[in-house]
Amino acid sequence: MGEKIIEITNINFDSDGISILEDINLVIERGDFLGIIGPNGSGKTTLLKIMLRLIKPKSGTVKLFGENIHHFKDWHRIGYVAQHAINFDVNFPLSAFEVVSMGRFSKKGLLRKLDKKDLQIIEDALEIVGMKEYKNKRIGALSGGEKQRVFIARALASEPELLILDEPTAGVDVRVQKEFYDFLEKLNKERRITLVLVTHDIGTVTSRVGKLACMNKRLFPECHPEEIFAGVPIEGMKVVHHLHGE
Amino acid sequence: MLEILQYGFMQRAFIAGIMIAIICSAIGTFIVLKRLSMIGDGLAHIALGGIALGLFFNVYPVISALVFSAISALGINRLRKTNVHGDVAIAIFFSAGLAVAVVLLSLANGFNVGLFSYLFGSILTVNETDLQIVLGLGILTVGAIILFYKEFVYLTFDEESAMVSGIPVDKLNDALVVLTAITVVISIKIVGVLLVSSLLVVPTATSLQISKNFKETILFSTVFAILSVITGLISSYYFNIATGGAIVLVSIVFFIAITLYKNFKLKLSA
Repeated sequence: MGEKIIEITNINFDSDGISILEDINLVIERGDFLGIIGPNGSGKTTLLKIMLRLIKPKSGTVKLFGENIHHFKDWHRIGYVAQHAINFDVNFPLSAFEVVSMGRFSKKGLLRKLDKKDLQIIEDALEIVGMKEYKNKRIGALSGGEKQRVFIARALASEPELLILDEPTAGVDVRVQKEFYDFLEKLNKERRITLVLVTHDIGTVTSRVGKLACMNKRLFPECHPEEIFAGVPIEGMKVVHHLHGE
Repeated sequence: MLEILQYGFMQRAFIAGIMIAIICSAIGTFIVLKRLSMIGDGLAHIALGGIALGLFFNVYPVISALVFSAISALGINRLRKTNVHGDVAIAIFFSAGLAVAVVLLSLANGFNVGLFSYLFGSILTVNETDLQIVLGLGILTVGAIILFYKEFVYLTFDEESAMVSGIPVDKLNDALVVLTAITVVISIKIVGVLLVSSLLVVPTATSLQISKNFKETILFSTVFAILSVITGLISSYYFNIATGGAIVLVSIVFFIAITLYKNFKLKLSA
């Protein structure tokens, strides 16, 4: 078995007395490329937020890189691209470069300025996602797909060992989606970045990830989506806009 | 032009005014982009309650206003974290501050003239002590922004991701509102309670029309604020009009001019 990057044990979560997550157990090892799929409201985003200490579970434990999440401090080892990352105020005055530079902050710590090495890493991250020519553009002026790439560059700028993506292909057309999965595959294979991706779009993801898990309050590892979502209109999962987790 | 600089009170007004322009535009950039534009107005009215308390109990009003607004600023942040929305939290504290001021005013009829000068601002009343406080707290505020610049930018743009990258978001949010309270209180002497929030909001709003990134936003905003203060002070001296009003009107003129310029340019390029 490889090194355990994330270890989730017996996680339960309620919201206003309604059960959202039930008895979730999950181990993610170094080098994994895990896709978690499930219909709207199945608790996918909630699970990610618990992994990132943004929400406290009702019960259960999370370990990141072998350490209990309450004591975990090396947040720069994790890159996160949130579900609604690209839905910000379009007039916000930040250049693409400034957005990506935020990825270095966790590694620098408080009170320390970015140095030459940081600036180089930021340039490299922009290069990897193919956004170098756009670095001085205002982030709000970019298209949806371009913004998404800038946010991934921000996550990459912290040189993460684990990258967590919430609905990264929402609102992106099929051609761009294919390129995007090619790109993720490269990150996973060449840079050995462990990837966790959550989506309600079961079209492309099933054939592109290393492991597939299904969610519907409970987590079903190595699932076959057709069996798990029997009775759920699977086509509907693709077209209904994902609202959970707002 | 140089003639007005001969007077001690004008010199103090210029120094205090420029310092206030710098901190208002710097803090204002974060406040406006966090969609908390009304917090300046709220804190100014809370400060009025603090000033009334100071006048009532014979404490230096700037100090009582500082303590009162800083504590209320933290209270607003606490309330925002519950199910009370940001603007409602501000409104509740806003009302409380104003109510304290009105009640104390009715209890003691003696200090309404003093209170009036805080309502509308009065450069004539900027004395050496005020100037020292403005400079001291101004430098503290600018220093804090420089030290935590990158963290403030991150949490203003994307609080959740800032949290995931280990930035102490709650503590820095508290620091930001306390700095806003300080900025508001020391600006009251110049522009008055009723107009102080304009200095926080208008130069940033003008700057946002033309800036391409965050650094430019703060820089342009500072330039507009300083120009507004200088032009406002000079015109208030020569035309014998209220300083606070003159400064804010100049800043509004800048806003209109820049907005028209931007639209004109957009039309040309279209």
